This record gives sequence, C-alpha cells and structure tokens, in this order.
Amino acid sequence: MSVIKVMVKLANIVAGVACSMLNKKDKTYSLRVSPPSVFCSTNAELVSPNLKIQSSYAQTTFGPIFLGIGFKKGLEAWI
Amino acid sequence: MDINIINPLIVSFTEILPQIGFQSVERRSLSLIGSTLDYDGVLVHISLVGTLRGAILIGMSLESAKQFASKMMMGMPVMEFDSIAQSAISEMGNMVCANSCTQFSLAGISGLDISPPILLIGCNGQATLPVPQTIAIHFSVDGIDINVYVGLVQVTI
Repeated sequence: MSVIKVMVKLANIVAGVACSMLNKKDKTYSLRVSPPSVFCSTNAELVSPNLKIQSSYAQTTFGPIFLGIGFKKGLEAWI
Repeated sequence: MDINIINPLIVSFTEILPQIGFQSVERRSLSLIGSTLDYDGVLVHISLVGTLRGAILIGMSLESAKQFASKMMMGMPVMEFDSIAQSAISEMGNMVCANSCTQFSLAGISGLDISPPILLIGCNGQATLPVPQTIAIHFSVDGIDINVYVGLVQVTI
C-alpha cells in the first residue's frame, strides 16, 4: 500500500509542476490537476478513445517507466 | 462523505440512459466501501475537479459491456469489444458524468469539470481512488449489471 502511495505522490508532483508551467505559459489554459487514482492489474489495457496520447518510455534503475500525455481541447478562449 | 452527494449522479444515470436506448434503469443496492476496489472486465474512469474532487467509476463485466454497446448501437451485434464498442461505453460515461455536473449545479454545487473518460479493460484488477471512502451503487439496466463507484470529497477553495 505504501508503494502505491509513493507512486500517487510522484504522479501528483509531476502533473502538478507540469500544470503550473503550462498555466504560467498561457493563463487561458486554466488547467487543474485531478486527484490521482491508481490501477493495478497483471494484464490490463488502458484506452481513451477521445485522446491522442504522446507516449514516452524510460529505463530507470528500478525498471522501465512509462509517461503518457494527452490533452483534449475544452472551451475556446475568446478573450 | 455525505451520502447525498450521490443523488445528482443517480438522477443523471436514470435520465441519460433512457435517451440512449435503454428502457429500464433499476437501482438494486448501495454500499459503502474503502478507497480500494476490485474490478473484472471494463471500468470507465472519469475524474472531477472543482469544489468536488475525486473520481467516478462505471464498471461492468466484458460480456455486459458488449451487450451494453450493442444496445447503444441499435442492436448491432458486438462480438468483440473493439474500438467502436469501447468508444460507445466511454461516451456513455462522458454523457452521464457531464449531465451529473449539471445536476450538481442545480443542487448548488457549481464550477465542476470532468476529465475525458479512460477505459480500463482487464481481469482481476484493483483500483485505488484518491478518497478515504467510496459509495458503490449497483444498477440493473435492461438486465445488464452495472456498478457505479463514487469517490468524491467536497473542498473549500
């Protein structure tokens, strides 16, 4: 359980910092980070039909790690 | 977690499903579980941000998901849970959660946003939600068993 909590914290920090950087770049983004959920399974498929995900894979000392980034356009900024 | 928090979601579920081709939506049971839940089959995950934060999960078995997608597509047979069926199920999740934001707004909780739906397909999986307690609602929709898990907390901004 504590491993899951560590992963939750790591994901939250990464997404939170990225969100702040993007919001600083363009205030109209108004991005917000939702609280992270964790899914564990030996053989699972993750699908998001409305999103195009940019995948990044990296090798760490502890094994491979995957980062997927996908944004969906929300309301149009008109101001 | 306040139990009344699920009412807008139940209203949304019973309002939206008849619009997409389902005749009966029956609420069977209600239970309070912890932050971790087991799933087998398909799970639609949608996050909520705003004055209410957390996640809504809609779970069903793979066979139920095929039947559900078939009904949404006017009875077209669904042999495989392919991309069209996946899109249909995630769209249902999107419609229900988007409408629940409207229902929350009518109940005085406004400014909510939902994330795009994510579909998890697998067996013997485990999901951990970012809340201490989750409410599980069991629905029977035209005889198809569906579990809705609501893990939301109210925050003051």
